[in-house]
Amino acid sequence: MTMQNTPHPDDELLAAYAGGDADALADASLVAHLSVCDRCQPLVHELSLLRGALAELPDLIPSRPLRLIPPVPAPTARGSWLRRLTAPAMAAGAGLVLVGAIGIGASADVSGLFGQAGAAFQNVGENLQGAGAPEGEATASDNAYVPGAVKGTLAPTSNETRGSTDSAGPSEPPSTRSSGEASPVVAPHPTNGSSAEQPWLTLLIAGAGLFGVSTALRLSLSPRSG
Amino acid sequence: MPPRDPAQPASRTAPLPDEEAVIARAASGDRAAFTQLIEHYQSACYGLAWRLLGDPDQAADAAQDAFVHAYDAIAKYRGGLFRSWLLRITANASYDILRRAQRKPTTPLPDAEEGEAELPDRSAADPEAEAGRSELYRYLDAALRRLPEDQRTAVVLCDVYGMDYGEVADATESALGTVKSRIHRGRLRLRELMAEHRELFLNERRLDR
Repeated sequence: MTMQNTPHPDDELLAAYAGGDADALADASLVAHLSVCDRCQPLVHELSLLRGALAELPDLIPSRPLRLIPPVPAPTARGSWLRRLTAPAMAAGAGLVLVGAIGIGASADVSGLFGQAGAAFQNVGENLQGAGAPEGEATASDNAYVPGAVKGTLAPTSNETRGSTDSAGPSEPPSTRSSGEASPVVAPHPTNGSSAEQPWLTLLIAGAGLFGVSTALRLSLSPRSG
Repeated sequence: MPPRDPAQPASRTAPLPDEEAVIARAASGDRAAFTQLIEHYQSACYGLAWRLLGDPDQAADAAQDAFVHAYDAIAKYRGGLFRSWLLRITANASYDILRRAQRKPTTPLPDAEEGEAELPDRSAADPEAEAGRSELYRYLDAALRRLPEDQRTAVVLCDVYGMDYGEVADATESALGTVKSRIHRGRLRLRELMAEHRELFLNERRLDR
């Protein structure tokens, strides 16, 4: 029964066999050795029993009550970063809309009240430009605007005064002139007004966009109730 | 003699009667169903974490970490034993804590008397056998705590919780050969540590038969 002259397998191999390791179970020489060795067979038997006892170790009661489920993402917590993120954007958007609206309103008023003056100012500017310009162009400007009277003599302040007081006078708005007479470098009056509104309109649209995007972001990311 | 298959101990948490349905509800976002599952298996998870970490607070932390991971992953659960799935997650969470603690691999756990875990109440049909089992479990847990950490982790995952070599290798981020060696050496060392109480598990076998 004993195998005095046969070296025993490594104990780790016996431990593998005891645990049902596939390679160890398939090791024919090991199986043959175990069938006759009264040193290794009891060792494998004991290791198998020990392993069986380990497999029966019971579950353990927690030492303290455990939190079984992660807390619901707190709406306040999520809402707060959402608010922190979107509130300034929404406020900025609303502010831009407001500023844009006021700007458009103001520029419309300016156009209404000082439209003539604006045109005249532009005329004067044009004339001044014409004075310094080459002869050919100066002639074209002269044809388009009030000739002679203000040429090279008016400062902007006097121009303003003149524009507001003599609006029905000789400085007839360029828009009333025929297109053939109008200088290509001078924008007609209504166009002049809308170009003044344009930055405000851009501001308003940008503000509305910012407001809309941040509102949509807040609505889409805020936690659903229930 | 041929080694026997690992037993399915009665003392361990059995699956819920309607477990598949509960899992399906939990996977679809039903928090009450998830809570039911975790409440049912919390002793299993805590037991594994305690045996790996040896500290009640760390074990509780690891179990709770595992529950969070399980909650995040349950929608991707694809069948199999839910207990095994949850225990694999618990093993990973415990090993993360072990790694963070950066213990030396050869540091044994404190004495079993400190922070000893409480066994669940079980009806003692046979008080004598029950007392013998309790004693055996106590000595086994004490012996496990005296194993070097790498061997203890491998033996606990494989022999106590029935994971195969590959699962242990994944949980401990170790090579397969290393894992096998740790398990086999751990078993031999555990046998030495249990030498004084050999009769307990030999008697246990006789009581079972």
